[in-house]
Amino acid sequence: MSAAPLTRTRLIGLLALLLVLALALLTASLCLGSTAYRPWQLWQNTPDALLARDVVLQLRLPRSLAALAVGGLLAVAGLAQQILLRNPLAEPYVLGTSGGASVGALTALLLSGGTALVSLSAGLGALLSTLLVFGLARHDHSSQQARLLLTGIAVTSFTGALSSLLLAIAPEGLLRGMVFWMLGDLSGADWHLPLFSLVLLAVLLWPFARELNLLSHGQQAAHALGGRTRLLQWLLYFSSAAATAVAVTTAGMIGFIGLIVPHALRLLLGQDVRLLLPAAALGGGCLLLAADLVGRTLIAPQQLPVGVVTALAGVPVFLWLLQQRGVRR
Amino acid sequence: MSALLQVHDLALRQGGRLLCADLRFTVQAGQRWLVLGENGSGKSTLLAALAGWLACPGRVELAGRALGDWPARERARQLAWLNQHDDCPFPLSVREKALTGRHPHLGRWDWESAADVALAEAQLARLDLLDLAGRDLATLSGGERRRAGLAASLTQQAALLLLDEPLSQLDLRHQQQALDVLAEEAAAGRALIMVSHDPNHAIGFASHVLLLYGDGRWQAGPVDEVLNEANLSALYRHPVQRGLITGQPCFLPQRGQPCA
Repeated sequence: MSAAPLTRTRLIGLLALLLVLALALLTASLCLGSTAYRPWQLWQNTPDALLARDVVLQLRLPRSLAALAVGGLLAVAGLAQQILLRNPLAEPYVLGTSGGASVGALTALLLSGGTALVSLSAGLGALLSTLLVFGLARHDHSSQQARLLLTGIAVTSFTGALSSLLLAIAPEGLLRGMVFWMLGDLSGADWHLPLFSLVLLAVLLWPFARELNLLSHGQQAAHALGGRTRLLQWLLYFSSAAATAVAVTTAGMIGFIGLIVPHALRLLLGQDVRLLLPAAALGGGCLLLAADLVGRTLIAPQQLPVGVVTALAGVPVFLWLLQQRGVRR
Repeated sequence: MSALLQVHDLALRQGGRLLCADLRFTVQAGQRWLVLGENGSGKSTLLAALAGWLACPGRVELAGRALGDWPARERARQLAWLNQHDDCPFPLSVREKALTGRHPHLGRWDWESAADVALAEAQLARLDLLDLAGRDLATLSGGERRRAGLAASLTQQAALLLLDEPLSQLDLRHQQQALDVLAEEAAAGRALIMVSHDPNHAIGFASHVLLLYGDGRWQAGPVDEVLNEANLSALYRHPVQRGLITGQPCFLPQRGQPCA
């Protein structure tokens, strides 16, 4: 579909287009919700202006920014894991990285840890589960890499069981806050840390994008062309684990963003990581923001957790992808 | 002037088995080496060691400097390595594959220029691949993918090419075409080390031969000295005979009695 090689102009043009899409979605997200307040009421001299200010600036804006940042983080984490494992089906939720982060966060909560400890513990959980999956599946050289996905699914189930166990022994008072981690929800989410992390990771990874292109063709090929494969692999480990951990501590477990977004972008924009990486950071945000918008408005005034929306949309896509891979070879 | 590649006392092991001991040979610019041996005799392991991918006991010097001392990108401008894995999990066009060879020549913030694209397409044209330039690698046949990999290695424009069975899966015409292209590269001053299963690839092409017996023994030297019936019969543990077809030597395995 995109046979033309990527040029700088094309890159900037496409990213500008995605940025416009993100801003449009952000505007929509500020305008729509379970209440009828609209941003332009802020500047009207009506009694509603103050309430509108609260709803739009205190509720919708932080939540929308958090959705943009968390979606971007998950898509970047998915892209990093796909390159690391050379498998287009790799994704933090499917491979158990999100589950590991969730177990870490729940454990810290159970021990009454503060925000910093919860984030750190989630990061550790994400890193450990990534290392576990990679360590167990690294010797699988078959083209389908069935063992990798099976290992990931096993680790996901295991972390799910651990999370249930932690919930079962948690005291009543902590339970509500902990269930939030299992569902994936953006209400009341903080946007500062995820947005900062997203920008930091994108800036850290982008200079290596051409080397990451080579790495996705194979480690030996990348080595032969002068790529520093060890360095790149550790970079991808840490950035995917850190991105997942920040996303999970902000919004709980949200699945399939890291799968759908990179895949759709590969179909639309081609395979070059120089474009895919910033596009995933923007596109992931767009998708999660749109999913949250649907979750907020579909059965308003009630809200659907955004994790439910992404899973409902993501599982069919995942199954379709599996089917496609079977057909291709 | 120092040699392009010097190998001293290299030992190759795989799974605890000693494949090759005290390997020693020197490659000069313009030389064309053919590596022969049974399956599992260490041919690919040797190339991986020479590419700096596998750490093996012994010393390998590239242009007078220990291989491990080369910064990765500078090494890749001197040394290209085509391995046996052609599969790519993500869609990749033949042109993009060939362009990857330019990576070591580009700075971190550089983009492939029109000259880089022209160079990559020239290599594709030499291997009869230009018509397939826009195609996804996954849709090609095995031989076509092999040629695309070879084109990428040529695009790398390295002084020394390590080629692991570049001709396997290629049909007869494309094998000869690839051999011609490689001979041109050697004439331009590049050195080649090529793994093959066909001793006849040496005829009219190789200047030197390296035989790996897979049990620690090896033989290296000019093609006239090393490539003969006795050595090949011992190497493959099967009688091999030398014949002449219109004045051109060739090696053929002896066939047993066909079953009635």
